[in-house]
This record gives sequence, structure tokens and C-alpha cells, in this order.
Amino acid sequence: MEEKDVKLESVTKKFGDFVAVDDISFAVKKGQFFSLLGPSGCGKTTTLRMIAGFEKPTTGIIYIGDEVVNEVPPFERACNLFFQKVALFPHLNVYENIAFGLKMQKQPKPEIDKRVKELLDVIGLPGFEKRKIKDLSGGEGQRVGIARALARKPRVLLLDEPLGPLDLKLREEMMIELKRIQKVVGTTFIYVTHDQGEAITMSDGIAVMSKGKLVQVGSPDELYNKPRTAFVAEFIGRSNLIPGKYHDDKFNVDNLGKSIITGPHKVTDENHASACIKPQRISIGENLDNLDNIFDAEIQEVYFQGAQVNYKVLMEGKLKISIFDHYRGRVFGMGQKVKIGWRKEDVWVCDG
Amino acid sequence: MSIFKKIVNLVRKSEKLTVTLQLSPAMLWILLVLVIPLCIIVIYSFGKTIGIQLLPERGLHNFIYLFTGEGGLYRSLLLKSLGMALLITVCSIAIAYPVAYFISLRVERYKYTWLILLMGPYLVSWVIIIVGWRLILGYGGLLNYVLVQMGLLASPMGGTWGSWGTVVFILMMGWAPWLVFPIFVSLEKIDRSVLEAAADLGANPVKRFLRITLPLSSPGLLVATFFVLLPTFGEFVTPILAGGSGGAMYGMIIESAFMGWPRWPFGSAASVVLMIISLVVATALLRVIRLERLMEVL
Repeated sequence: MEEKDVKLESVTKKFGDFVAVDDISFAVKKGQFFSLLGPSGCGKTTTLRMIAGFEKPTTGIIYIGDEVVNEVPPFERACNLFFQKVALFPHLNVYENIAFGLKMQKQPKPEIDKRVKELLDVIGLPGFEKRKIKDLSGGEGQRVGIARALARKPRVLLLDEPLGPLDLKLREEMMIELKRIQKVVGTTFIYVTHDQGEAITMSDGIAVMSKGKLVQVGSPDELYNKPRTAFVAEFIGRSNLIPGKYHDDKFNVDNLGKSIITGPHKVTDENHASACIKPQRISIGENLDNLDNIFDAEIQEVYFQGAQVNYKVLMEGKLKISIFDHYRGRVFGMGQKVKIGWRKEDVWVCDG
Repeated sequence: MSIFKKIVNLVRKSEKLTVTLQLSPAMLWILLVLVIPLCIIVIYSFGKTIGIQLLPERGLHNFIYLFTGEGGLYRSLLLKSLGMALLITVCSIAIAYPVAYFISLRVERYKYTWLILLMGPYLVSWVIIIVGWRLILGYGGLLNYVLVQMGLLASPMGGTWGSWGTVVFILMMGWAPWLVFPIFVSLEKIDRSVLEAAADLGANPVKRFLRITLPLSSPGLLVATFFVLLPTFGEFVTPILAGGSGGAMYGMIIESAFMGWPRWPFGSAASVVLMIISLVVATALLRVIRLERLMEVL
């Protein structure tokens, strides 16, 4: 059996009548970069704060390693939290910030010195010991925050939307940097974000949350290609989501006339299902054959992007469909009548 | 070009002059109410008078008398007042800090209502407050009455009124509510996630307070020190009303030199010494905390 660093069993958190986290269970493997993904207010931060120990679960059990930590205060848990606002100690310098946790453990000074130096090397800021916090740039502050959280060699590092306050360019840099640091130190990271791009880029595993409930747990690849619900499909990557009824490997959309042919799928309620088709899986052309599904369509919008052309088309005069077509020296014009089609394997049918 | 235009141009050219002229109403006011009276005091401190008429003699005789006269009474009063002011500062901060801490970090609703309630005592004149304390602490006061009624004392005890302890106590109780404000503001400014970060890094509540909260609230503590130390050093109302013979303070020397039988040169010299010491203390404090940080807190 693989070693689990964090495990949640039927954890629920209520604030008064409000259920912030509703009966969620998942496990994070050792050394994984695991993301909790969901829109704001979905309970992901509350979940993280429960793992950190700043909130107590109303019911359920939280394990860190093999230990039940429900009653363990934050400062005795084998995990550290990286704060959304970084929260470096403004009156201490970089060295003192990183060393803070080690000093609390009463480690001898030479060892603290060694560890701080080591961490500054890991985060790529060697020689920054004496810097004042107010003199650090946004990215430097973030890295120092990560070093501080990693100083005590926690089993798990919890990160709460750490890249939120950064601008786009810095955010992309820090995403790569975070993943690199995680690989170097090998610590399990649990990462909270509402940005699916961040989650997909960095994670080994993702838990998608919505309204306090866990919707799906899986690898980025699984979530992208095999979403369990329309919510996940919508949240991760771009998809054409078509609501309808699913029966006997056929997907029926009201008033469309023709069924969409699909492979076998599992859905909870056949009368409330969604067909999910990735825009890049759809072929477009004047004549199409060898495809399981072929429909008439009219081009409504065209966005030429160099390597690909993005179309918005009206399928069978009923459904708006997005298509990403590889640019092969051909662009369809607006209003043009075309055929669009896809294989039955390119359709994924899910709940919702 | 008219003379008027020439002057205007001259003023425009010289930035310094422009700034000076723009500031002039304020400068004039300061000159009138602060600098000139101060100069007069300094001049008087080196002088000698008959009645209120200044004689042409100049010398250090007033200062020498202040430090050596009356068997060193004034000198020891100066030291005692400084000590009392320090004690009052420490005690009033010790009272105010927990209150500010509680309101800032524990109270969740009506924070500002609590703060305003602290201003309650200041609706009454300071003299009335002192008299009020007399009703409690005086020989026939509430405290003695209760203690005697409870059988803890056979007869009312003296010493609760008319001693230096009384003065320290009353001033401490008087200043403490004020000090809640600067301390509260500096505590409010502490980012709560910094405290959580400290907890997360293994700091227990005591260490969190000593290593994070206290150092981060130090600007408020220094402002509080400023607030109390300087005014109480020159305090004279409280020792006159509540101090008796044991609770005399340096400010009383100045008061009596001006208000009683007029000895303005001596009173001026005593004032100058008070100002110099206060200035030294204030400068020392400002070295620890820079003025802009002070303003941030205020």
C-alpha cells in the first residue's frame, strides 16, 4: 500500500447553519503535488485550514501520516501553511524569518545557519540572509515565505492561493518555481487555488470542490478527459457541454433531430446528462466521412490565432459549438455552411 | 516694471522664500505663542528681579541655587519627580496594554464602543477626578470605611492619601485609559495572518506574544511613553491636591515661583531645566522610534 501523508474521512465543517465543507474524503500520497480546486466559497480554504489546524472539523477524521490530528493544535502538527498574504514577520530579516520555526524547536545555531543557507539556495536567493522584508520584491517575498514554511521539514506543506496577489508574468514564473522547489525537497504539497491553469500545470492530483462538496478527485489528465460532472468539465479546460438525455450509447438533445453516437458511459441519471466534446477534437470541413457523428453547421465567428483557428458555429441551427482547428492553410469565412464531426470516442458523457 | 512686480518675481524665483511666506501665518503663530515666551523665560532664568522688574545683572545664580540651595531639596525633588514619572509610565502602560490587547484581539463586535467608553472619565475635570479619589482613598474615605467595617482594620489607616504613592496611583489611573488608544492602534495594525504564521511555525501563545505581538506593537508603546512621561514629569496639580508633604513634585517649585511670592527668574530657571531634561528624554525616545512611524500610529 502506498504511503499516505494526509487523509480526510467524511470531514464536515459547519459555521452555524452554514455547511462550509460537506462530508468530504480524500487521500494525498507522499510526495504528491495535490491541488484543491474550485470557485471561491467552495470550501477549499476551509478544508486547508482544517488540515493546518486553524479550524476544527465538526465531524470526521483528519490524518497526517498515521496520526489522527483532530485535537492537535497547529503548532504541533507535522504540516506548515504558506499564507495567501505571505505573512512574513515584518520586524525580522530574511534569516530570522526562515529560522523562526527552527528557533521554536530550539535547534542549535550552527544547524539553523546551515538549514537557512540550504533553503536560500533551494529558493534561488543565496546571500539574502540580512535583507529586510520590506526590501523584497513580490516574488522574493513569496519564495522566502515558502522557505520559512519548509524550514522545519514538514510532512506536508499547505499553500493557500499563494500566487493570487502576483501579476501574470510573475505568476507563471512562480508556478514553475514552485513545482521545481517541490521536486527538489520532495515534500507533499497541498495547494488551494481557483485557477484551473495553475492546478493542471503543477499538480499530480486534483480534487475539484463545489459548494462544500467534493466533486471529483483524479489526475489532471483524468479530470480533463473524463470529468464526472458538467461542473468539472466546465471548470477544467474548455469544453462544449451539451445537456440532454443519454440512453443506450446514444445522446439525445431536444429538437436536434439526430442523436449523438457515443461509447458506453456511466451516468447517475440518464435523463439529466451532459455530453462533453473538446473543441480541438471536432473536425470541420466541406465534406467529412469516417466519423461517427457528422452534422451540418454554419460558421458564426472566426478567430485566427496562427497555429490554430477558433470557430464558433451553429450546429444544425440549434447548438452553439466551439471548434479549435489546426491551421492548414484554410480558413472558413463567416456564414459559410460546413460539416462538423467527431468520433464516438471523442464524446464524454457525464452527470449534470 | 513696478516695485510690486519686482518683489513678486523675486519671491517666485526663490523657492525658499516662497515656502517661508506660505508658512508664515503658522510660523508667526508659533513665534508669538511659543518662541517669544520661551525666549523671555530663558532671558529671565539668567536674571534677577525686584518685584517683576528685571535688573540688568546676568548670571547662573538661579541655576546654582536650584541645584545647591535649600540643602539640595530642589535637586532631589527633580530626581524624585523623574522617578515618579517613570514609575507612572510603566504602571499605566501595564494597565493599558492588556485592555488594548483584549479590545483589539479578543473583542469582535463593538470594538469602538468600548474605546469610546474608556473616554468616560475625561468628561469630568481633572480636579474633580482627584477630589473623587479622595472620597475613596482619604482618611475617612470609602476604602478605609470598608476595611474597618469588614474588621480588617481596627481604625482607619493613614498613608492612602497625601503620599507620593497616592500621586503615582492617581496619575497612573488617570493616564491608563488614554494609553489604550496608541497601543490599540498599533495592535490593530498587526496583520492577523502573521500571528497565524507564527502559530503554524511552532510558537505557543506566550512566544507568539513575546516575539511577534509585543515587538510589532512597540511603536504604540513608545507613543504611550511619550504621552505620559513628559507631562507627568512636570505635573503639579495632582501633587498639590493629593500629595501632601511626601508627594511633592518638581512642577510645584515652578508653580509656586510664579503663582506665589513672585520669583520669576528662579521659576524660569527651574522651567528651563525641566525643558532640557524633557528634551533629552524625548530625543532619546525619538531615536528609538522615528517620527514618521510615530505619526503612522497616531
